[in-house]
Order: sequence, then structure tokens, then C-alpha cells
Amino acid sequence: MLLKKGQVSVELLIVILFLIAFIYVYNTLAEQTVYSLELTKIKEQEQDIVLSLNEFIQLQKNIIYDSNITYESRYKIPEIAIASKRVPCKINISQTGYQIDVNSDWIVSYNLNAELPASKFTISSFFVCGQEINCIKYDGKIKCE
Amino acid sequence: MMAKLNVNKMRVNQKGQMIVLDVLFALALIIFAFLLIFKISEVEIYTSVSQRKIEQLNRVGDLAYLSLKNNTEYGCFVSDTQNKFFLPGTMKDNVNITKSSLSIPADYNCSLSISGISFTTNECNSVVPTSGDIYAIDFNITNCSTDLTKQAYLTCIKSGICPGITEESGTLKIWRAN
Repeated sequence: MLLKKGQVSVELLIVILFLIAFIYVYNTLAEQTVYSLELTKIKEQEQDIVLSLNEFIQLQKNIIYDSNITYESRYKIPEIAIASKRVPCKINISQTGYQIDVNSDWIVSYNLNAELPASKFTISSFFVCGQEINCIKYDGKIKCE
Repeated sequence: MMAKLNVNKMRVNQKGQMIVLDVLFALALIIFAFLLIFKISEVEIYTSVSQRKIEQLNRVGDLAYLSLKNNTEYGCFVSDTQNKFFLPGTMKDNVNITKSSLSIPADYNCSLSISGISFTTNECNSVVPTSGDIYAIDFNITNCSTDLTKQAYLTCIKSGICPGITEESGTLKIWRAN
């Protein structure tokens, strides 16, 4: 490894630099791959949350015009969990769609046509994952909170 | 023998140079292995995205079907002097079919046809594409020209004599626009 004069050869330096660069690139790519896989898993669960929440809310509409029943239903919003951690998320509901804000890192919007007749339906515009929604019907109107 | 050979190759020569062919081969193999893993991950992510789209279509379709067959806006009621009950799986004549009432998002198109039931308006009248993913379901639904009295309902259940009530068949198709 050393020359007779105690100098480090150029080849050894190149090998060391190559190893350092290789470890850096390998590490970066591995992190990116893990991030991509985690992101995919999170998006899968986000979609599942939004679709199931949408199903719950939309199906409330089916009983709006039935004025003769006492009605109450509950739904617990699922949480986002991947193998290594639990991911906090917030859900905003507007008249036109659902928006999931995951851990403030990124926002995913779903335009699932949350059109709900305001005269017959009131719902909180903000929920967090893991929260339970309770819908009750009174005076011909459904209130979810 | 091989190990001994490798040790010999790693020796430094008289000019201080390392013979690192084995190391380079090993690194090349590691790089190829990593590229392979990266490619597999990419394929899995692509597959996952495709499956998510199909799953979303299926769930939108199932929800629309549920909304169609259990909708108090479209369906028939049974009433007596005091009470009024909704009959799931029924539909009146001359209703207004809207995508919103079927919980179909704006970026999806739909086609709904039911033999023997006429609609006043029908937003689900798009032309079904010949390619791409389509959610399709055939179903039977009970058509009642007007709401029923309790007596008429009981007679229908007991004797099978059901004036103004017919069973019709229909098809609902939903697909993603664009």
C-alpha cells in the first residue's frame, strides 16, 4: 500500500474515493427506495380512508328523505400505519371533495364529489385519523360531528 | 485454493499498487443486485398504483349501486294512516338520476339503463367506451308506479297479486373519464 518512500499510491486513493462514493450513493438510493415504498403504502391507506369515509358519508344521504325514522350511525376513521411508525393525518371536507394532509409533509386531494345538500346535512369540515364520527338525524336533518 | 488465490491477488506489488479485481467484481455484483432490487421496487410501485385505480373504480361502482338501490329519493314507500316505511331495492317512475345522488365523482362517467322504468332526467347517459377499465353490474329492481298502501303491500307479499309493481332489470356501468 505504501511506496518505498512512505507515500500512498494514487491507485489506493482512487479505491478509497470510489468506496466512499459508492457507500454514499448506495445509502442515498436505499433511503429513496424505502421512502418510495413507504409513500406507496401511505397512499394506499390514504385512499382506503378517503373511500371508506366517502362511503359512510354518501350513504347517509340515502336516508335523508325518509322522514319517519330515528337514525344514528357511527364510524371510526382508520389510522395510517406503516411498519415502522404511525403517521398522523388530517382530513378536510368541503362541498367538492376530501383532502388528506399527512403529517404536513404532503397533501393528497380526492375529488370524490362530496356534494351534500346543506339544507339537509351538516358535517364538520375537519377530522383527524382515528376520530369517531357520529351522525344523528333529527328534524329531518342529518348532523355529523 | 480459491481463498488462497484471492489473498494472493490482494497483495501489493513492488510499486505499491493493489490488485483489486476481486473487489471490483464484488462491487459490480453489488451494484447489479441493487439495480435489480430498485427495478423490482419500481415495478411493484407501478402495480400498486394500477391496483389502486382499479380498487377506486370498484368502490365507486359499489357505492353507486348501493345508492341506486337504497335511495329514499328514488325508492318507494309503504304507508298507513300513521307510519311510512322505505322499501329498499325499489324505484319509482320519472325520477331524476344525477351523478351526485349516486355518489359518482365528477371525473367518472356512467351509463344507467333500466327496462320498463322511465327517467325524467338521466345524467348517466354517456357512451360506454370500448376499451379501458369499466365497472359493470346487472341487477333487478322493483318498479312501483306510486307509493304503496300497507294493505296493498301485505296483499302483494301474501298472495303475489301486486298491481302497479313490476320487477325490472337494469345495467349500471361506470368508468373513469379522460
